Amino acid sequence: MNQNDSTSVQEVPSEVVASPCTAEQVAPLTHPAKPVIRVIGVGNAGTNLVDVLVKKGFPAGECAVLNSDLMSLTSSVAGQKITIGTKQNRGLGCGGDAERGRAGAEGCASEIAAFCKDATAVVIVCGLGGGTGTGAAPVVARHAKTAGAIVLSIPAIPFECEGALRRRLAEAGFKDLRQEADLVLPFYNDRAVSPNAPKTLLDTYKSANEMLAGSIRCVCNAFTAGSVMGLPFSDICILMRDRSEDCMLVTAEAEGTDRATVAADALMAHPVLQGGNLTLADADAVAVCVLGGPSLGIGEVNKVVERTSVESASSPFLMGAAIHLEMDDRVAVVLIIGKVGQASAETHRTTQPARDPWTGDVSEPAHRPKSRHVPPPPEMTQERARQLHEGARARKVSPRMRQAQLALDIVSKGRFDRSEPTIHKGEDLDIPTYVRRGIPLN
Amino acid sequence: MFDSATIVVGLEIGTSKVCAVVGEINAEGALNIVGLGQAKSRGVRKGEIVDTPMAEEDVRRAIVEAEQMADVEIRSVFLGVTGGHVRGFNNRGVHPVVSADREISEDDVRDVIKNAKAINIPAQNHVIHAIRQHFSVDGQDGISNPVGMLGSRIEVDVHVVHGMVNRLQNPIRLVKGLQLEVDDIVFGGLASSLALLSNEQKELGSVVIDIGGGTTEYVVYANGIIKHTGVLALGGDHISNDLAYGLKVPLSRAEQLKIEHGSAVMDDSVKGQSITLSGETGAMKVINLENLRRIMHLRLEEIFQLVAQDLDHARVLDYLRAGVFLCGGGARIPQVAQLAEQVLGVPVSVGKTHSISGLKSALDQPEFATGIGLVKFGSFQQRKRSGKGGLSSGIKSTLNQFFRRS
Repeated sequence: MNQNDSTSVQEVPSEVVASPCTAEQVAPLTHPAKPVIRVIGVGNAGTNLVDVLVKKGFPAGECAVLNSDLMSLTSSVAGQKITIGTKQNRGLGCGGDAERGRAGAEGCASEIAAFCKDATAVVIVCGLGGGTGTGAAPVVARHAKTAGAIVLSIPAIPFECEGALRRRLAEAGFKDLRQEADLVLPFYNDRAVSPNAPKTLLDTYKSANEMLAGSIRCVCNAFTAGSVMGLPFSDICILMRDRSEDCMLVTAEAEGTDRATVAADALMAHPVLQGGNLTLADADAVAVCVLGGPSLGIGEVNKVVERTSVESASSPFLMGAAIHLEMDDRVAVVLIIGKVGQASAETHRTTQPARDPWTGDVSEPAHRPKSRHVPPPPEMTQERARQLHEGARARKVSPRMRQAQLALDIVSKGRFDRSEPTIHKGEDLDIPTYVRRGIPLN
Repeated sequence: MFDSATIVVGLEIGTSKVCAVVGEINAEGALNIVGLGQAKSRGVRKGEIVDTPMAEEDVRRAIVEAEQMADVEIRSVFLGVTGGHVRGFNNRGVHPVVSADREISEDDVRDVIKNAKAINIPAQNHVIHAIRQHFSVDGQDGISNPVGMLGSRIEVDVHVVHGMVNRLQNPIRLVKGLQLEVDDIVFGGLASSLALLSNEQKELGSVVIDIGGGTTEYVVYANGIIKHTGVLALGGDHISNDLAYGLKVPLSRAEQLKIEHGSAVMDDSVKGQSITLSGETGAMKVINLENLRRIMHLRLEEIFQLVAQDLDHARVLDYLRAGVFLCGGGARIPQVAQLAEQVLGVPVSVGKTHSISGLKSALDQPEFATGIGLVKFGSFQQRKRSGKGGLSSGIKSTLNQFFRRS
């Protein structure tokens, strides 16, 4: 046991760095052990988020924004700005058309690839439901992945009050994104900030943005920091691969004498965990990373891990601890939980059945149980792409190897449907072992 | 008629098949298997009946086949029972020796066993077996028969196998509905172990793991006694179901794939290999052999891991000097012994039935171990009964039986 642990710890940095560096023999000479994380904000929401992030102290040079709206782009403080689709919409945005966003991003493939080059991981932040974020983010994810980076995407899912159309668009974008990115951690605005709270609109968005920016910062720190007890990003990706139907990122920070307890308490009391549909107790996979300065004690790590693991005893559990000099005497906890099962959007639907302000119809698809099959992103014909974007490279139809999609939530127990379930330590053993262990089939 | 040879029938209503084994005890007391009847089981899940009419029909077919083959009329059976609700545990009974000379009498032994059998189990549970283990006299362990020894305090452990009475009643009622008597109910894992293990193996310490269609039963012997028993409601059905689910094929096809292409371990030879199936509609379907093996390997590995955990928990792993013997349909999976060996860390082999003569075809198959074991159990009971001898006791037992049956 011990032997295994120590070897895995040794392997961690080399593994994380290895993939991009072998492809391009440039950066590793200076900082061989330091992973590089870059952030791309896509669309207006993404741009705003990157701005908040940079204001909070994230190096602007590692940030890029990609937008079709010139105005928001010029005011951004990010290190690199990529404008898409200027020819069609003269820098006025996509107007909620995801196809335009997609075609525009395809046109900027070389810029995206140049930015993602040498990066260990690329974090894509965007707001789903609009044109640019929804359409361009999956394309950015694909190009970043081709450039050799691990792709983490943190999309903001619109408030319920933003309407059914945006919601539907967001759902479609979310699916596309899940196909392209290694890990997608959606941030549900509704869950984080109650729209009924007595807050001004500005404050609501501001607090949501800050919460999200804080989380992104923690995640970046967790993966760039010198890891003590390794929790490599790739492990999380594998753990979450089949359990990311409903996935959540929660972070909490604290300082002072009792910082570990305070941080753990704050984590448990986090609005996302409290108000959300996914709680720690019914998560199917849990990953916890404790982040601290050099003074981080083993007792503190233990406290946090104990606190989180006690509620999720039966699910696969990953833990790690990382030291980041910047943290000083603060402690941050990053918690990623995933669940096999109903898409969160479905639960949204049940709360507000088929209230469709656009068409007004009580549409039956809203009641039909959603198929777990995730359709591939809609392919565009070459004509359509050309129409939308002159000179944009037509999307290549490449038969990439993809993780097979398994119908997990309708875990039809097949033969054991009506029999008494075989429960062992809280695990339903009738569900195939490989599904429960999250082992991918190819 | 029945005097020259006594007929003993074992009936196992399993998840994948119903199997009736007819044994004949000849005048010398040797057991001979003379008939075997089997039918595909359709009304059983995880070892328990879920569809009585279906199961009834299957049992009838198996019985009829066995009757024809053995050319006898089956009147009563020893019935194998199993299911996830069946549990085993050890209980200890204590009795002070009160006689003046401190010599342990047969009565003392009877009393101590009675004490040990007085167990605290939930009211809805029924004791299937209470098997005596070794006696201990004044703290001296490992005494198999203390009668005649001197001592002041006698203790005995019994291994109790119990299950929920309603769920045990289901197969009994079904069999009685077919105008058959149930001589006794026997835990399936125990029956298998009787069929497979020789006395020497029991003495050395061994485990029988019966991987059936719906349940996996295991029985641990050490120093000649049953130390531990357990049931997992997991079996070959789960493998088929996993395959059907993971490879997106119908269950029947998954079952076929399991039998034709299955193996318990993953090896490099299957990397990138695939099988092409032609469906009923003529559409071809390509199945990744690597996935098939992986799904199967993981499930089997988990079953053995769960058994290993339980054996470890019961602290019996160190006693197993003769090793592990596999039986049941699961023992037919290629390389299953190799996998079990990896997980359990003790030598594993597929079990062979012992010291019974008769139909060779039946005896060689691992899935008939339970049926044969039931017959063996029955033959012990018969021997005990006839061994008590005497006309009066014979009549008494017959009368007793008569009352018990009604």
